[in-house]
Amino acid sequence: MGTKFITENLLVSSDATIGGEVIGSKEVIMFNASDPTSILLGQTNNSVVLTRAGSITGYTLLINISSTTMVSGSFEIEINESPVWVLALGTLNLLTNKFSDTQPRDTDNFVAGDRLRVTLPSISFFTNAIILVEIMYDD
Amino acid sequence: MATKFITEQLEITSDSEVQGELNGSKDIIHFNRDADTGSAYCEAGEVTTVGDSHSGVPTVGIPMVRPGSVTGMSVRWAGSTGGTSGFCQLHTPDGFLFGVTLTSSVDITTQPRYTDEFSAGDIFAAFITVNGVDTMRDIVVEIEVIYDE
Repeated sequence: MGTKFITENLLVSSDATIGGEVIGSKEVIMFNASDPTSILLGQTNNSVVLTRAGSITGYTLLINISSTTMVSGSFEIEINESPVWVLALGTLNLLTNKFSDTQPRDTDNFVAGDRLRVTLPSISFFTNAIILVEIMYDD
Repeated sequence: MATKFITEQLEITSDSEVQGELNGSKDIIHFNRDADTGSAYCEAGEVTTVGDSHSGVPTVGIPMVRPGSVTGMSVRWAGSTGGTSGFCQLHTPDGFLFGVTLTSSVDITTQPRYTDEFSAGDIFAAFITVNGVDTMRDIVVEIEVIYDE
C-alpha cells in the first residue's frame, strides 16, 4: 500500500473518519491525592507504564489547601523516577491553587515501557490535589 | 507553513500518521462515587471533596489542559432499590453545562461539538442527583470532550 504525504498544515473543517490506525494521538492521564506522600493513579500509588513512545505536551494541577499555614514547593513530572518537567509553585494560597502549561511535542520524550508519575516534593501537606498530564504518542 | 484545507468529510481507509501537533482530539474524563442518596458531587479518583455547596460553580474539580467542547456523557451505576432514577450534570465555572437523565443502569448521551464549550483551566465536576429514597452505588461517570487545540 502506498503512502500519501501532506507536508503542509492540514485543516479538516468537517468530520474525519480514519479506518486504520491513528499514529500520533493524544491522551490525558489523571493523578489524584489527599496526601503529599501518596499521589495516586485511581487507588494505586504507582507509576503508569506507557504503552507506546511519545512525549509530554501539557499538564494541569489543582491543589486545595485548608490550613492557614502557607506552604510552597514544586511540581514534577517524572519519567522513570527522574524529573523531566519541573514547576516551582512558589507560596501556595489558602484554598484553591491552579496551575497549567503546555509545550510543543517532542520536548520531553519517552519510549514504550517507560514509567510516568508525578510528585509534589517539599510540600508537607494539602487537602487534595488533582493532576492531569497530557501526552502525545508517536505510534 | 501553508495550510491545506479540506471542507468535505474526510475518510482515510488506511492508517493516519501525524508528525506535527494534533489539534481536535477526543478525550475521556473520569469521575466515580461509591454510593449515594440525594445529591452530591462525584469523586475524582480518591479526591472526595470535588465541587462545593452544590452551587454549580465548583472550585475543586478536574482542570482542563486545553479549550474544547463537551460531546458526551455516560453513567454506569447500580441501584440497591428498584426503580432508581435521577440525573447527572457536568458543572463548570459557567454553571451547569451538560447532563443526562438516569433511567437505567447505563445511561448515555452525546451532542455535536461546539454545543457546550469550555476554556483551558476550567474546572469540571460531575454532580449526581438520586430521586426519592433510592440509593445508587458503584457510580462511574465518563465525560467525553473534543479539544480545540
